[in-house]
Amino acid sequence: MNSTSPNRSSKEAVLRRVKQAIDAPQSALWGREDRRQQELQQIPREFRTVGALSSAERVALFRSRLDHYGAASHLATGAEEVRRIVQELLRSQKKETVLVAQDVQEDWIPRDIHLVRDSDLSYEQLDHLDGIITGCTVAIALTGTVILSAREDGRRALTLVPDYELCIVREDQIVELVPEAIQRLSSLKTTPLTFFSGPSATVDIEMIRVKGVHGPRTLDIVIAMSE
Amino acid sequence: MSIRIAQTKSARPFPEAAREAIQDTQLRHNVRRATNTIRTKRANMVAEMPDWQQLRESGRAIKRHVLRYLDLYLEQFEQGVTRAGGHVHWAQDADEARQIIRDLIAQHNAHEVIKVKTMTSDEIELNSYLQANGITPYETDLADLIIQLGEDYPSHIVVPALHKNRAQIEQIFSKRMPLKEMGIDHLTSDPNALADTARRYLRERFLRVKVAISGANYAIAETGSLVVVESEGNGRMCLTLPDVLISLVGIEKIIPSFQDLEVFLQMLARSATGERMSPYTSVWTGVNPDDGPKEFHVVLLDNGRANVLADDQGRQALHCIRCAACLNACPVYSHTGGHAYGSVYPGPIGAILTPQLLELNGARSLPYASSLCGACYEACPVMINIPEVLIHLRTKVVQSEKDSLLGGLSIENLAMKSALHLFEHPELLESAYCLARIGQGPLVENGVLPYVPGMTQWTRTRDLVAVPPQSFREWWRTRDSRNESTRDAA
Repeated sequence: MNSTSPNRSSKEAVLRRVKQAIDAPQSALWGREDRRQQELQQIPREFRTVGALSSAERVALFRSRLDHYGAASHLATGAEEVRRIVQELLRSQKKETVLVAQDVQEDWIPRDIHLVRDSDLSYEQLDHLDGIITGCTVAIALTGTVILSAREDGRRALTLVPDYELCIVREDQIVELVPEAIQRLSSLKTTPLTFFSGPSATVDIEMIRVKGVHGPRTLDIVIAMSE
Repeated sequence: MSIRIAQTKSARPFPEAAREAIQDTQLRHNVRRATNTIRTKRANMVAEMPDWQQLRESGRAIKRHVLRYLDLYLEQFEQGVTRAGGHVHWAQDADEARQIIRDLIAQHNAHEVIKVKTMTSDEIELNSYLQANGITPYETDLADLIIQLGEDYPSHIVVPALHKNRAQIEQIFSKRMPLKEMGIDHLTSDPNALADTARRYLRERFLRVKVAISGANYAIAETGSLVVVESEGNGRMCLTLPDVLISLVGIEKIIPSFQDLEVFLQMLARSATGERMSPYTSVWTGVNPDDGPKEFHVVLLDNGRANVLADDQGRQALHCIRCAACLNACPVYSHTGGHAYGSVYPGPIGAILTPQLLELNGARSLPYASSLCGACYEACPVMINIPEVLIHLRTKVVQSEKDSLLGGLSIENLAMKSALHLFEHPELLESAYCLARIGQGPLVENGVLPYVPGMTQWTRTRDLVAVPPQSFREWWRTRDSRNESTRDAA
């Protein structure tokens, strides 16, 4: 495929044209890699990289952003309260068959609900579920964003095909700013990542925000506060 | 190699197309309404960021840096993709990219593909090519679906169907979707109902079709990862569910490292749709054993980008992150809409990008499709100085016209040459003023000449200022003689 000769010659042609365009003659190539690294270090990053809010303020900001997106958020202190709120949410919305992603803490999950674990379910099987419960890798207060990584929170299809998502975010997972979240992801950067900010939405018709197109149409977030 | 940007080479000149577009009051209403809405939302989102200017500076610095070392970063990116089990293909132009993609689809005996919004695929006219080769492409972004079903063209980079209102969209859906089979008796023009209809129309295709085509917002050199930012979840469907994923990526989409997302993810949604963050951002690297497609291909596309890179001043057009803030800010775009530009890249950024990709062998009227007000430069999150590049390209257009035989003998060139001669010879200029004062007499109205025979090209859209009764130099002479007389008296 990528080893066939026409493609290799195209690669050479593209790179040759690029080099010509940026005027990198053979003589100037010496030390170019060093110069690249040096210049990369000198790129200005004067924007905010460390947040200024307290933990309580971060939680409050995160919740107000979620509210703005039309996602409900619920505070819970301790595993028992998390379990109770999860149970209430599932009951009140009649979510009977619910899948739980692998890394979700056991003691967060109510015992009296028909729970499914992900055992290579097909997309059709996922499509017939009532919903999915996941944890979270990092959350960003300023933008109301939850980030899931496939390594920690299960494969991406789980939070995509079912129509309902319940996501449990630990208080210490919430950072204030985008750069702080990117920093926390540095050991996970090659695992598939999904950032979501509220439920699926579109503004394609007259710029009116319509909630819920292809991704889960309903999103509940439970914030597990540190005791 | 032959560079084509969709049908741009055969498109009508902008003034001609614009004149027709501004007659369409429905279009103007739709475009004005949409651009006003996004502009207001964007202004609010930018105002709440105290470090917005610092982010812009960083964004520009990163893009500038990447372009200076683009060859190194492209190779680094390729290594990353290959290391993670993906394949990289290089395409010099649209034809080569289309063939690579068709061959990949054919290897899997697929006759259908699902697509997530990619401008680059419109640039190479992938859909019509696939159709001609017996492969049915399904656009899955709501706006792209509207465009595809309506057999229309995108008119905006971010919201391609913004020229259509809900009633028009309802008509397209009613005509082109099997609503009865989908269990819908009567479709209304309520946006919620329309979005739900699109969901039902596409859902079964997402679960069934085995090959997907995407673009990418960013390609990370450090890791070989791609990033797609979207709203509806159709992107996630295409990137996750099929067995085979083919991503078509322009070579300018490279960013050096994962860390750089801290800049671009903060700017893109705020600039593009006036949101703090788009609903979904996906980042993936090659193939993952238990998650997503089993086979992953990246097609790196040049198609004229190296030409743009070669121009020191014009190169900044390649910084573009396709947020379309410049379109929404542009007084020209908000009147004409996107179709008048005759390019898949309309608006101010299209006016500098398209002619450069084509090396000015087409789209030559686009550098003039601007009042040079500078609103685009103000709005651009990566600080592309669009007015500066527009003027630079106008110079190039004029220069290349002067260099041709016909252009050298054109009225414009001869007029400019004689003007130059006059301005270099003061005594001649003064005689010309005298003649003009006599000649303009009957044409002057309130100090301007609204119509001059033989100069209608100019006066159709502008007034010509009349030559004043006294020139500055004439006044200066009288002043000198007055001064001399006062000095003599002293």
